Amino acid sequence: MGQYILKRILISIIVVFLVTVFVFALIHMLPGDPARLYLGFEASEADVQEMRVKMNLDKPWHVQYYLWMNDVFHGDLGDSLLYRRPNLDIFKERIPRTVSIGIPALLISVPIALIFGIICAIKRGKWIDNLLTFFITLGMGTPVFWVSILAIYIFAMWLKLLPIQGYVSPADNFNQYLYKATLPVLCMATHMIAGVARNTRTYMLETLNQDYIRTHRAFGISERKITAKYALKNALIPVVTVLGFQVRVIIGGSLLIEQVFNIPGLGTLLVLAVNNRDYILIQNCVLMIASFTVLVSLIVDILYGYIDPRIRLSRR
Amino acid sequence: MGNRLLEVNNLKLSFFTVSGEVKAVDDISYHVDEQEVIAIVGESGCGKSVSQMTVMQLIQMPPGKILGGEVLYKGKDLLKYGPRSNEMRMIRGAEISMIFQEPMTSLNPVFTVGDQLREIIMVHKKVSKKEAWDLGIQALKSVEIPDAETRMKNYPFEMSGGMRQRVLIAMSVACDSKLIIADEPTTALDVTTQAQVTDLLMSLVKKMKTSLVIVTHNLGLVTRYAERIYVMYAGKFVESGTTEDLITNPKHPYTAGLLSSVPKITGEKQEKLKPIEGFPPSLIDLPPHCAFLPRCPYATDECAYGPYPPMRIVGDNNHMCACYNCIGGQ
Repeated sequence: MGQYILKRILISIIVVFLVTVFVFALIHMLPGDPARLYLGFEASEADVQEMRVKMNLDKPWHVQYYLWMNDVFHGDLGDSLLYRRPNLDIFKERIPRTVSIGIPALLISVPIALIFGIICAIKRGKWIDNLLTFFITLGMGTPVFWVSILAIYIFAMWLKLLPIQGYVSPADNFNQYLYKATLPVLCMATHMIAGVARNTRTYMLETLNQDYIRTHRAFGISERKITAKYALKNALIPVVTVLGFQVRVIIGGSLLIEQVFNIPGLGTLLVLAVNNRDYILIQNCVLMIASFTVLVSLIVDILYGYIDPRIRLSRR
Repeated sequence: MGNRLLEVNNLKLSFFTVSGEVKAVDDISYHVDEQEVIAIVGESGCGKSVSQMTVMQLIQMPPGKILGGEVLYKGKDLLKYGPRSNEMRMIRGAEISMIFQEPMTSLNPVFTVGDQLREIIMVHKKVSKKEAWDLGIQALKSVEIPDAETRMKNYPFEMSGGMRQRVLIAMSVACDSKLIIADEPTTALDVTTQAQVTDLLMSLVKKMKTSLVIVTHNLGLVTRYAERIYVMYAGKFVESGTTEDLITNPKHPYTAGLLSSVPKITGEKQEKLKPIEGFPPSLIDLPPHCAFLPRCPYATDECAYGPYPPMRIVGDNNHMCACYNCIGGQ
């Protein structure tokens, strides 16, 4: 197991390294001069040139990459060109907002999705399976921003139960947070439930058809115990991977949901940074998101080993 | 020979699929007495495994459907209980146990052998977790697994195929079943392991005074151990009788064909094996006449026009055969 984890960590580090290279290359291939954008179009050519030197843009690309990495390793994520303040401070401000939408959505969706998936698998072909599968397919097929707009229309504009948009931090006013975050959280959760439930159903059905389930039955183990214990543990192994994906969906979903509900989180920040060609912000934001994603994958891999003895014991 | 333990009468099971009704088990009757070893022999796909899964009620329904018959175990009709009933559940593993063909996939990969064995014991016996664990160790010892205490904590993937089949045998004897159904118990194993596992199974059956049904296509295996044989073809029994009668005096052309396709150590060197020509029929849309007709060297016009020949007594010791032109007359 130790060797297995070590190997996963090494792979993760390589992945993060490759991501930095790709992001760096991609951003530096974009047209437009960041120094000119920073100073505005009225600035003189000499000032721009001076700025280019200050921003290290005159140096060869590998030196620039080295300088960026050097800063990162010293805990300096640079200053945003757009906000003209340290990126780290911006992140510290925005990450909790994205998390305060994403984590509740994840916590709501996972148990519901698992239960839906298991019910569908056990009651395969019955009306309850057909009904749930219909909604699951619908949920997977509809884009999250469309669901959000529909939800705003129904719950905010029509029923006037919840606000159209806005955000309050739970630390500032918890009741206001609940009031404003309910819709975005539910919209994100709907999307996640669909994905996890469908996968749970598929893997559960696959597991219930295995020979060893027949063995359990042939020796008188009750259906309930077979489903809840012996089949579930097998079906959960691939589902854990899907859950790992869901954590990534928080980031992807936040790009859209935060736009629709006007939440000043990480998603809105990234969109703003790209629109304003704030390359330092984009670069570090992507680095951060990539590292986070890789970290989640790493955790999933380790969890995998914990659930599946074939992985845990094979590289003892 | 003891009392009648299991009696199956006119059992019929079909699978209803998109391409039609598959008559996998078509009106079969057989019985097993206490401490008796019988065998059901036939080619792949003739319905022999399905017939045994039907007795255990382990067939998925739908697509499967029992169309008739009764399965009397100690005089009670198991089919009346239904596959999901508690009564049936308590019979599986405690009264009738089944050993499956695929030891590699028949054990749950993410639970230890001990966990799985203990669970079975705790379903059928009122014992504590600790006692069940100790009984599990004993069961593993009874199937001659060395170092049983450590093996209990192993996962199936840490064991070989032969070892896993031993574990499955241990499961079937752990709760003192009266009847063990062994469905091709050694097919997936290599030849030396096959002999070991079979010998082990037979000695356990003798020691524990259990009845045994061996389902196999391996006639060599059967003639060594079984007291009576049922030969199955296309969902029906075509011949049954004591092993000696069947081997020395086969009545059905199919049984004769099977016997001449088995290599004999005592045979002459140049003797060629005679395969049965053709293939077994698909179990969908079976003809009304004898299903073996297209492959039968003894077929007459009567076979093609007559209905399916019924099983009838053709010799001593209840030797039965379903054929119009039994070999050796009658």
